[in-house]
Amino acid sequence: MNLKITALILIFSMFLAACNSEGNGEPQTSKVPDQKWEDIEQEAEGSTVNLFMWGGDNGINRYIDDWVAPKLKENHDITLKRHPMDTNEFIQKLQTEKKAGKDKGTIDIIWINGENFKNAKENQLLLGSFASKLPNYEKYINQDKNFTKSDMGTDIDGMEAPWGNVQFVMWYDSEKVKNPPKNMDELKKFVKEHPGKFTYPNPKDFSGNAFLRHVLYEKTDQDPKLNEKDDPSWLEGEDEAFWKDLKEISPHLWRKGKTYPESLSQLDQLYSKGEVWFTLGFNEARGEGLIKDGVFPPSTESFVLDVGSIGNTHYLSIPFNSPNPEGAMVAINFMESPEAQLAKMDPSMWGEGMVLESDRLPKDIQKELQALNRGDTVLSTKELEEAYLPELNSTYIDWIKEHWLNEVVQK
Amino acid sequence: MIKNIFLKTLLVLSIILTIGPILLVAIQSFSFRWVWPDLLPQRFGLRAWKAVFEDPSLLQALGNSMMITAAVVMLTMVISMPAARALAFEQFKGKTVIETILMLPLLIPLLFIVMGLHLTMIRFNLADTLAGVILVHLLPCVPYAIRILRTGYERVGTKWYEQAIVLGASRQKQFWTITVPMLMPSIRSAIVLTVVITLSQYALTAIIGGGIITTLPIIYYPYFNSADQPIIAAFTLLFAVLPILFWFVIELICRSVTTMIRQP
Amino acid sequence: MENYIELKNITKHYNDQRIILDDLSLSMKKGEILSVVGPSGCGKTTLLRCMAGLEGHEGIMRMNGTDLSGRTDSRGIVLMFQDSLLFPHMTVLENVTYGLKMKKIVKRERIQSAREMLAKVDMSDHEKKFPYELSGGQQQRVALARALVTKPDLLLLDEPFSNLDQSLRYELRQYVRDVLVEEEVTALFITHDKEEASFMGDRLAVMGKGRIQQVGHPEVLSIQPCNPFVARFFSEGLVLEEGFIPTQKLTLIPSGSPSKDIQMEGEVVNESLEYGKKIYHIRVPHLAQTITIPSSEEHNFTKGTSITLKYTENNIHYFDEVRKIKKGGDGENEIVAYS
Repeated sequence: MNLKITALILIFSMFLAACNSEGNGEPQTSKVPDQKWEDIEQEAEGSTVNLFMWGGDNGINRYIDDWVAPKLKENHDITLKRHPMDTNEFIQKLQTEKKAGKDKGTIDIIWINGENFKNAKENQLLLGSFASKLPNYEKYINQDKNFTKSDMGTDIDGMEAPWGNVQFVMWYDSEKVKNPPKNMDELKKFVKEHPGKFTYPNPKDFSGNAFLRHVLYEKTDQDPKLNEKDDPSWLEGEDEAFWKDLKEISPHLWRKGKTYPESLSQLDQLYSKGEVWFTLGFNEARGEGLIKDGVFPPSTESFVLDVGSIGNTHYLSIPFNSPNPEGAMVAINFMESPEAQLAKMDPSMWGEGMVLESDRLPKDIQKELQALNRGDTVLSTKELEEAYLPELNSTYIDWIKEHWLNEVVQK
Repeated sequence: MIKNIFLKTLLVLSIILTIGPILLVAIQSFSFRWVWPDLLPQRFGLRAWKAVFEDPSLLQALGNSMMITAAVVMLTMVISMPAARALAFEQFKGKTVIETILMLPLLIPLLFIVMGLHLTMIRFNLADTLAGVILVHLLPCVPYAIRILRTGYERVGTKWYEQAIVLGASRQKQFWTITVPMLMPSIRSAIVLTVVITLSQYALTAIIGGGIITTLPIIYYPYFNSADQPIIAAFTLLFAVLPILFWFVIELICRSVTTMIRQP
Repeated sequence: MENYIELKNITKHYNDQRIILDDLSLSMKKGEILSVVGPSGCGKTTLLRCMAGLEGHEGIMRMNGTDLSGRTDSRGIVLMFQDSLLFPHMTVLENVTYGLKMKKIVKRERIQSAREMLAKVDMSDHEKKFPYELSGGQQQRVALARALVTKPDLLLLDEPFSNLDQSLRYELRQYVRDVLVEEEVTALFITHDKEEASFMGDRLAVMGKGRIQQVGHPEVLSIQPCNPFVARFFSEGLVLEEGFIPTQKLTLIPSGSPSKDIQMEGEVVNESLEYGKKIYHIRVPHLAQTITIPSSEEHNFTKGTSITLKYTENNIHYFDEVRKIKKGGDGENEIVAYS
């Protein structure tokens, strides 16, 4: 009888708590450490840093667990703990902690960019401007480049530090496709000749959305308003060609366009099984590991679209309630070091591009960089640089998401 | 005769249907490029298993998962047994209200209230702790356990308890000599279901455990977001071993309890 | 002798509406077997459950002078249910030792007592069997052993033979009665079968509408019912408003025969055979009653014949209420008013 009552009280209190969500006044946020770097490094020594990041890629996980963590321990006596968690979830966690006034959190570093960064910044979930304090950031990163100033239209203000640069490329099975279509006209022709062999992820997915951003670039002749204006309303009337082509290819896509892959991983699986002949996505080198692990067929090749290749930068940041901001800064600084960035490019680990300016690197690293073979499927640096397109303002991501459902699907 | 053949076919079919998928997953976990319509993978390898066992948090995750499961099972039973008995046998004011409240976690996805839960847990200093995770896991487990056990109590009925009472059995004695042996099938399924539910909680563990409390799903689920089938397969198998392990332990406990009670 | 069991003003109602036990009183002597008989729904099972402590009630319940409103496990009252309710997961021996185990009697002793009791009910050979391996009669014998082995101060039996077929029932009830008498158990036996009630009980109580209507020896009850309810349910004869004429006091004559006695018209609606004797089923339209009367040498009636029942004023056993009025003075008029 007593236990029954206990159980009910327990369940009831949780429901009540769910309704009652007022915070406990203003939280005492941690501050960006303002000592000299040497002091920060000393402070960080012997501490533990908790890194929260998406954990679904074995190569990325290995890079953190097998390369970064041991080196960080060796160089700075910092224990780096990786916690696999989806970006949305740790943002949600931080938001709730903010609301509850929890000023000692559990996260020291988060892996973030674009909309999530905008969200986190607007909700004051970040520690503050710390990037310029990092010696490696100051020394090796070209601060004139746009990716240090703006993350998909959101001013960075030093609240996140760039970690990797990736470009959008397409992959195809060269055994099945000789001349991959590189623009919408070619694609229209291709899908009609080979029905069901091409598709793109639902634009709710970041990569699927990115594919449509390329199409939008092509169909608006790379209108600079896409980068500058954070209000997509001007597209009204100018988006007809864009939707018309998408509607036209739709019935010739995988499953007759009645359904689209929900995520990039689903498209990758379809490609892996040979159901479709193309996949796509950011990180020009991500095909290497997948071929090596037997996920992608060995005949996989990559290409960039005629319109170009959007470059996307992802960042590391420190949340407002990090229990160890000094450790976090030392760890981020280390992850922006030439050795760490070079190791990250190794196709056996992660393989993605660095954020450092190559001519500022030490001579030996420059040599290693030139000698580094990123793999046969990775396009040359020159080709990628020539195709480079800046990211769109993040408001266009939502615009595509919303309208795509009405324009393409519900017909 | 015909019935016999039919039954045998059914049996063989059900064995294929249970063993088949497990076998497929097992092969998948050792496979290197296994593409339809190939009957077998092009090559075999240990890559996926290596990746799984090289994960530095694997041991911790296994330990946490087992600890949480054991604790959740115990608490769930301690809460659910008396609650189920009361709901099955007793009439009291507000019974329907309580029944509805108990149904709620089954009807509304817990994710809707996960933020409220998180706030509560932060306030009680239980966020990012093992205790908090255990407590929150009770939410999806207890309603199911109560439902199963309640059906068990209703099936057994009050008559055996009355017989025990008139022979002088105290509440505690009734529990051990009547409830435990007679409800054993229900208790067993409630425990097994609780094990499965708590072992597979991802979102609740992630939010309330704050990523600090690493359980098997915490490291396993992100891989669903990848095209790496062998790793998914390897984790799936590892994941399937745990409930089986628990099942063995439960079976062992259940058996020894039953023999202990049956002293003349 | 002091009353061993004393129930006073026992009242029980469910949900403040339906009254099951209505101000019931009953007493029993030590070592006595009392049968309570009543139609189904009269509250007799509820009475047993209240006495066993399975349900709460209002009123006083005393055993051997002590109040029984205390806890169930120290009552010393064992209830045997309609079904044997042997615990299916325990062997016969484990079932029989159950009550002793609850009394914390040491293992060796409880096994010894259980074996002795099993011997008394002729079930010694079955102690290792599980209940499902036993026949219905054997199960009830084990249940009896399980109840008696605890040496209860009072044994309550709730129609324990009703689920058995007739021959087994006759055999078993003899058996149970013998064991109860031999063990000198105070027992309360309830049934809806008046024949069984008179067989089992030293005394008999007729229960109806939530209360005990009359207590006494079966013979007394069958010829001197105290009210119309007992007369209709238990006794055999003609029930008038003011009293009762037992069957053996009724004479059957052909319709229209002259007689000085009181006469009542009836009709033979059916006939049947009992103990080799023809039994007439006679409908009495005036009283809306059908009674059975054994045939006599004198007359032979066929089905459908109109007959006359005759009896004298002296044959009437007046019900208590009427007798009270009669004693109170000018009763004659009242009786006239009744007829």
